[in-house]
Amino acid sequence: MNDQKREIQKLFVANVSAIRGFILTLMSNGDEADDILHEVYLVVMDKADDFELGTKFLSWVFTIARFTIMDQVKRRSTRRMVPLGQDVIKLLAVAAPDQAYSDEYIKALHHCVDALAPAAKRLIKLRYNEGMKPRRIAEDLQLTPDTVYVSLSKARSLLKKCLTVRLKLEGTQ
Amino acid sequence: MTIQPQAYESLIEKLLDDRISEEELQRLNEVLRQSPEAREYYWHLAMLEGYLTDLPGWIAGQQYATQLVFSETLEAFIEMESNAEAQLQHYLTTPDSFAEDPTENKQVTWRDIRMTGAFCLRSLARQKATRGVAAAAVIGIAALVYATWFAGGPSHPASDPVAGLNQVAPPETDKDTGPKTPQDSEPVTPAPEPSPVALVLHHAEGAESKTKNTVPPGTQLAQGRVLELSAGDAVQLEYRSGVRAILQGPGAFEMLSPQRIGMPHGRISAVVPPEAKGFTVATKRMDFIDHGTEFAVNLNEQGHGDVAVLEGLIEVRQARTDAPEYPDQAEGTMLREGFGAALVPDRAQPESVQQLDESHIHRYTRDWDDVIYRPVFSGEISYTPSPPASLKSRQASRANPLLIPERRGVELVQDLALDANRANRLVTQQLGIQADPLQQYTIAAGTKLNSFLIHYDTFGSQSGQVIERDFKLRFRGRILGIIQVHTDQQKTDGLFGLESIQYPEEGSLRGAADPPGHPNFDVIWVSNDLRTMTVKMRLTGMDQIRVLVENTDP
Repeated sequence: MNDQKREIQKLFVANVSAIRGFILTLMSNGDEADDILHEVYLVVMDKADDFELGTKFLSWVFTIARFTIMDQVKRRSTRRMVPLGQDVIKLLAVAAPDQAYSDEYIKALHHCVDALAPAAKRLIKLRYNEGMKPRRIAEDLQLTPDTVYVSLSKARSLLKKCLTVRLKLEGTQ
Repeated sequence: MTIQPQAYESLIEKLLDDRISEEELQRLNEVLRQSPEAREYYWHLAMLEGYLTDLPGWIAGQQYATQLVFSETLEAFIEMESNAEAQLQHYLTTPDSFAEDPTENKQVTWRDIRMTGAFCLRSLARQKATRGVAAAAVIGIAALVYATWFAGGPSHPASDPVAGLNQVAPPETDKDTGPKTPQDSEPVTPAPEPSPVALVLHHAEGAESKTKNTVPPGTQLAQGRVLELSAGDAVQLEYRSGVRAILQGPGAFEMLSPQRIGMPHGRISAVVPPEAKGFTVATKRMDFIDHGTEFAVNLNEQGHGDVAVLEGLIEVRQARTDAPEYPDQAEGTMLREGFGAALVPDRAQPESVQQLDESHIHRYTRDWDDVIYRPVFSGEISYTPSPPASLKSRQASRANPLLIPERRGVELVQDLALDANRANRLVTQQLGIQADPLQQYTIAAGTKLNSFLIHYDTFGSQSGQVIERDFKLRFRGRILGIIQVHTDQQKTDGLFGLESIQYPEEGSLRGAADPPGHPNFDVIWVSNDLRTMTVKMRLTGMDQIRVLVENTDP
């Protein structure tokens, strides 16, 4: 492995959460995000020599991810992209942050998740860590879907507010 | 044109929650085309999704609490939701929260305290002499009571971790007049109250609950207090001694002392830290005395039941009623890790001692918040303290991977270089090939390790098909190494394997190291705290992964 590939590999590993996030939001089925992630990794390593170090790594990876997802959707009928227009997805890829969020962001996120009340935290965990869609959560918790939607929305909103405050306090925004 | 956040936030959320209508989708596409702010918000949620998925600290140990949520009513759920907002509002105004300084007097969330409780307890003697807690002014939330449980107060001797607890006990409720306030109290010298011996962490009521005394989280249980639980009820306690226990009904439980609980009948699972050695479950006929362990006792009203030792060692003696402090010397029947026994009426000794099989283990498995001595498993893996004699390939196929505890306390006599080990990283042979900077990792000589083997042999089942298994393991010690190479694993069998096991011969393909893109590509993630590993196994034959975990024995 040459130095360029090694650098790309390091960047990929350092940004893997952000890359997964991008994939998750573009796939209708989050269960397949890790498979796509692996495929994106393969393509990225294959094209590593094309990347100019020092330029926007994530934008480059997201473009690869976008095409990889589209390719996968064509190959497997079970895979579906999020139903946004291709031009919109392209705009989103361009608008992506140019680097992964900082350690402070992760620390703040940790803090803010911990600050949620147990029930809200449980919902966030089921939704994101377990990858469950709200309808499934509603079934499991024997709640109405609307209760889950509203609670999730509220929890996200609280997380956003909390993150804003935390990151401002730490001077990282 | 400025587009208001309300116009896109809920649309984006609906899209990601998979509930957007065609009309809304059209509107969202248009908004995303026009509004950079909308695209930024989309990214905010995308990043949240990505980072929350990977966030370290999602531990399998939360499952018990999840079960509690499942059993709660909708009303209680909504109430908790509204509490969440109130708590967070407070939190937002006091950003230097409890997590940074667990002994400061701040209103904090329940979760903050649970996560740091063990730390507080250990560092109590050192900290409490200089810290102050004016908790009486903010009585009312369970969390604060718990904080005070650990924090103590400046006017109490540092050697007594529960001195002064009565000052902050939850207000007694008078059936006729409601909670008593300080103004209601008569100006008489209060009689000494029994010492609290345990604190309620969780309480779940079963659907048919007839529990007479509800014990919400934060309730301190005084010496002599009896809990009667109906079928389906469960209470999680933390004892002053550091013991954590789950009590399940139907049953009756008496708080005899910080080191002793009476249980005429019921079910108890207890994790006993080393400093609480000697913790005893007293039944009518027998005392179950801990010698540093995790164990469970199940007894019905007729005297039938069983006992299981999941970790360590316990001693079973004929019951005594004089609340003895048991000497170190064991005199009764010893039951060691991985063994269980039947309890029968009118007998003072356990019967039919036998090795626990997987069904026993699962029956008594409890996932704990942050006190996990043995691996807590979720997903499809079987904890196997008694492994088969041969782990060579093409043995009998099994439904699930096995997690086999191998050696304990192996002390390295020289540095050990490993394939790869980094926090929260994609660990594969591709990312960890020889001489790659990402995988230059060495465990220093002198380190003591426990070794575990994840073994999955699928030969003979569904020939040719890729079999997939995903699971998470949480270890008490830090994961210091993962050995997953294909062909060199046998080099570590001598040091970390068990003599009683026949491992595959040299050259066997036993690792989990297929490259990305290969149908059998495996992924292992290690959390930032190095305690949780998430494994995605893909195989058509046999995979073995050896995990080296820091030995935390005192």
